[in-house]
Amino acid sequence: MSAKIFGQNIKKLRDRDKILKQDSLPKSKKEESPNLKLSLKLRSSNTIRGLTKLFLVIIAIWNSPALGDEVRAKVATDDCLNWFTRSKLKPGKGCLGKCVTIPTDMSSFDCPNSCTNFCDSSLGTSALFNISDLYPGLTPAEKALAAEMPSKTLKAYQLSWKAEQICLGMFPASLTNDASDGCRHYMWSALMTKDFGDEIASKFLNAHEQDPEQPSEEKAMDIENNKLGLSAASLIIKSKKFSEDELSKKFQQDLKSGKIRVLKQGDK
Amino acid sequence: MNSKFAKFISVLLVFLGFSWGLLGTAKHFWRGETLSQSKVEARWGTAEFDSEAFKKAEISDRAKMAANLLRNQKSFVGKKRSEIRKELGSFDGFYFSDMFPTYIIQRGKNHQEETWQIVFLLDRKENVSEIIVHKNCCDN
Repeated sequence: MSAKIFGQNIKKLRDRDKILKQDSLPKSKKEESPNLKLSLKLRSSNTIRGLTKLFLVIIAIWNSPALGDEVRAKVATDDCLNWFTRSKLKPGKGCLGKCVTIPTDMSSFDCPNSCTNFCDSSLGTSALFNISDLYPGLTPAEKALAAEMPSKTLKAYQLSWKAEQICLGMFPASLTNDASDGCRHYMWSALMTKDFGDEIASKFLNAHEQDPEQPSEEKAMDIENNKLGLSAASLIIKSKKFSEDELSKKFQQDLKSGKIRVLKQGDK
Repeated sequence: MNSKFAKFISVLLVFLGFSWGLLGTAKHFWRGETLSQSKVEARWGTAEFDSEAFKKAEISDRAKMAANLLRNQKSFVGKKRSEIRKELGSFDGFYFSDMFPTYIIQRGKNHQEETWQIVFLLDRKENVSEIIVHKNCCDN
C-alpha cells in the first residue's frame, strides 16, 4: 500500500518536472494547445474590458462634483434640489430626458449636470452622461439621450456628418441661417427617420433644438426644416425609393418652391 | 531581468509613440484643417480687432482682424457664447454643431474655392477655450 502511494508520488513529481521543463522552454518550442490560445484570447479580452471599465470610472470620478469646490458644490446641490423639486418630476424611466430640459436661471445654471443623481440613474447611464459632457457640441438634452441610447446617439452623430457631406455636395460651404443650414437639418431629419423611425428621430431633433442660447428665429427655422425633412423621408419611404439622390431631389424641389425656411440669402 | 526591463521599456516607448501619433491624427481629424497665427497674418494681413467694426465689416475686412483675434485670444477664453454673439455679432459659419460660435473670413463661390472661418472652441461648460481659424470647405 505504502509502496503504491510512494510510486504515485514519484509519478506526480515526474509530471511536475515535465511541466516545469516545458515552461522553461523558449516560447516557440512550447506546444500551444487550442485551450492555451483560447485562454490567452479570454485574458486579452478581459484586459480590454477591464481597461474600458477603468476608463469609465476615471471619467465618472473626474466629472464628479466631489472633486470641485466642496462649499460651492453644497450650495449648488441645495439650489439644484429645490430646482428639481419644483419641477415635480419623479425619478425613474424618462426622468433624465425631462430633467435636463427644466428651465434654469443664474442659481440653477449648472443643475442639469446633477440630473443623473436626482433621477436615480444607473451607474452606466451616469457614466455615459458624464462622458458625453466631454463633447461640448451637445445640448444637455442630447447628453441625456446619449446616456439613455448610446448606440443610437452614435449613429445619429454619424448621420449628422453624412447630412453635412450631402449638403456640401450642393453648396460650396456650410453656413448658418442660409439654405445650406436648412439642408443640413432637412437631410439629418430624413436620414434619422429612415434609420430610427419618426418617433426616435423626433426625440433626437427636439433634443438638438433645446439650446437655451439659440435665438428664437433661428430655432424656428431649424424646427421648420426638421419637420420638412421628416415628412419628405416618410413620403419617399412609402414610395419605396429611398436613396440619398431621391432625398436631394426632394430637397431641391422644396427649396425652389420656397418651402425651405431660411433667414439669409446668398453672400454677404 | 535586465532584458525583461529593456523589453518593457521598448514596448512602452512604442505604445507611447503610437498613442501620440494617434492623438495627433485624431486632433487633425477632429479639428480639420487649421492655420497658425503667422499663416493667417500672411494670408489676410493684420488689423486691430474692433468689436463694432467686426460686426459691420465685410468678410474681407473681418479676415484682416483674424490674426489679431488669435494673438489676443486670452481675452476671450472663459466667455460664454452669448457674450461672443454680443461682441462679434450673429454666427455665420458652421463647425460640427450649431453650438460653436463661427465667423466666415473667406467665402468660396464654388467647390474649387476655399471657405475659411474663425471658430471659438468651447470647453465642457460651454465657455470659450480656444480660437482657431478653420477651413470650412472644400478639400480640392
